[in-house]
Amino acid sequence: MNLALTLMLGLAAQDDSMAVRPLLEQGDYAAAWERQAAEPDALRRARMRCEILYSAGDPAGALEAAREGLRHAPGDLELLHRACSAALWMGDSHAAEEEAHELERALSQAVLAAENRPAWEENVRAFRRRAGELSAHEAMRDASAARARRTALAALVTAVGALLGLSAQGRSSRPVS
Amino acid sequence: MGPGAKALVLLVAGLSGAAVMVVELAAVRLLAPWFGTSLVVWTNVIAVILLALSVGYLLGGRLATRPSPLVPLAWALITAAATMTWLPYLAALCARSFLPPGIALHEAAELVSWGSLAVAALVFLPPATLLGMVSPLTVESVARIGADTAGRAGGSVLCVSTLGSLAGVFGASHWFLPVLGTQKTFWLAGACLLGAGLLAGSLARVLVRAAPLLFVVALGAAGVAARPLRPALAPGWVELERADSAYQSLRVVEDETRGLRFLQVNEGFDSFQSAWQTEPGPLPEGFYYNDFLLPLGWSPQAEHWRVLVLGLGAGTVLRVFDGESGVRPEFVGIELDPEVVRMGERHMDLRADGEHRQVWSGLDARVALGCSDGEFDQIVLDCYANQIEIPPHLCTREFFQELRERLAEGGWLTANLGGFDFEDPVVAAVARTCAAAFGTPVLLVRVPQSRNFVLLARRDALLPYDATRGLEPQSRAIALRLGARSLPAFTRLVTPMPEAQVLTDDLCPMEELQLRSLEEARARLRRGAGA
Repeated sequence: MNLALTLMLGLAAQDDSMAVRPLLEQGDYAAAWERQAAEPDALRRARMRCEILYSAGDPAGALEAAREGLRHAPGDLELLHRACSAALWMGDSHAAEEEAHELERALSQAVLAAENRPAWEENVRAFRRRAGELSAHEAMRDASAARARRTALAALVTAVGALLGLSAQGRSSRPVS
Repeated sequence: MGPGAKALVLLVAGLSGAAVMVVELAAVRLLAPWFGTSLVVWTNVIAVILLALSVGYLLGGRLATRPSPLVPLAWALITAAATMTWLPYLAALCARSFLPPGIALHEAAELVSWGSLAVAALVFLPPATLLGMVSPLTVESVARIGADTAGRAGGSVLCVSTLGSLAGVFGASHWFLPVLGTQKTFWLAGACLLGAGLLAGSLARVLVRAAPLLFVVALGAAGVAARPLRPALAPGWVELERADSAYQSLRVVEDETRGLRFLQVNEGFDSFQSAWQTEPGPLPEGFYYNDFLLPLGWSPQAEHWRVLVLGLGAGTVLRVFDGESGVRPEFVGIELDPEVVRMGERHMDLRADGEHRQVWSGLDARVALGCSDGEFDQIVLDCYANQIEIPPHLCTREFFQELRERLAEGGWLTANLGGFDFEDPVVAAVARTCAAAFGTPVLLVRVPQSRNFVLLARRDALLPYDATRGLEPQSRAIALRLGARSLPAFTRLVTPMPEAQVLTDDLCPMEELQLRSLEEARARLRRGAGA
């Protein structure tokens, strides 16, 4: 892929989201939705839908739209970027790690203008860092739950053990009067 | 020792009976800021205390065979008293170790179940065991002092200690917790037990060897200085006020960067009961209160608008409506917890009285519905308990039928439902039930950038919704207000189905549905998005 084509594709992706962005900024989601529904090209439609749903606060829908777009254009940096953002928004560390990895891979193969590459690389690093933080949070949460479970069971077993022990002692002792 | 001594031992039994109930009720309040006060938490605390009492009964029975049962009785009571002062601090310390910061509501199910059980077991097992020892030791003491049979002695002790428990229940619920707060309630229980212990000690003449007892008392006194820990606030947030009401642990916090205030209830997770911003009117996107304005937007020709708000909280709904131009609505607001209203007046500009508005606090929503007069153009239903639970009696077919009866023709029911998607067990069950009660389709609107849904239902009128086009804005102004709600993914019509299972006054498993909601949300994340 030559530089001109890459730039053209990049501009095309921007054009797709720009086509609905003014409508979204006005809050006219109905018109934006109609605009994407009328779009005959599946990739462009997916890009617009992703933009609309992300802006609407539906990260799950945006991720689904991004993945649909990626079926038509694997390695599309804009869509992968949106997919990463959506997965992080949802707090889904697995999806975020997966999409960040895909973005990194796509970036390594992409032909980009030299001045654009550092910004993309910084984006990937930020996604990976945030996905890592999310994973660490999940690990901490799971460890806390496991520790709570162990502690509760140990304390209850001890209490029941004491109960049984005392009960057995009571049976073997002689009456006092 | 004579009848006077027997009366004193019975007094000891009564005091410890009162303390047991105070501890049992206040124990849940200690956990509330971390784990809430849901049925699971109550069950865990009661289970632990019952288990501890059982161990204590056996242990006390063993020690009762000693030459003077009053000696272990005095020790048990004084040691229990000493632990009481430390309980608020220890409970918070343990809870914090099991509950990492920044936990979202959908992550909380497992931590609430096991975390509250672990903290209850660690913190309440020892003192409750000591309190369990009291009954057999007092029974034995009474039997020996009065030369009574075991049956008569046991009957007397059980009678007095149960009466003490009765006093403890009423005292804790109506006076100690709402007036003194949780920490001082434990101190009071400690003082009560210390008095009982000293009484038993004086009867047993163990106070002459006071040094070890004084050490235990001093240890307990040191606990008064230990300040209980609280869930941490995020950077940039400040706490404006905290209070314990008869119902819950409350606090008002401010996000200084966004200029928003929130009233939080049992604040362990990222949820809130009321929100406030400097200017009246709609809040930023993501707050479901804005959606309560939709019916007014669809009724531009309305000359008057009478609104009943069930679950007023600190008055966010009134403030959102206050920012609207045009018709000036008349409000009747109902809030169960009077302290919430007071905090709203102090920090959220809630005006509880005045022209066109009445605020009733201290009343259950269903009771208040029966007491209110006239018909309403809109009923706002926003009743939650324990952060996340819709009270079971406020989401049944019978209740929705009562709401329908109170609506004017064409009137709107707007209800807030917390949930994760349209298939969420709570959202689906309540929508199904409401549709069955109204006998017409109802509409679920997903609130953008939140985990809330607003349920819309009308009496004898059609909803502005088309199955293919979605919400019908009717004008461009309303279209812009609807924003993302215009998208197909944000609305769903729920039609009444005769065979569908609905929630009724007889069977409303809301706690189970809520738990399933949290578990399913977490399972979806584990499976991965889009899976």
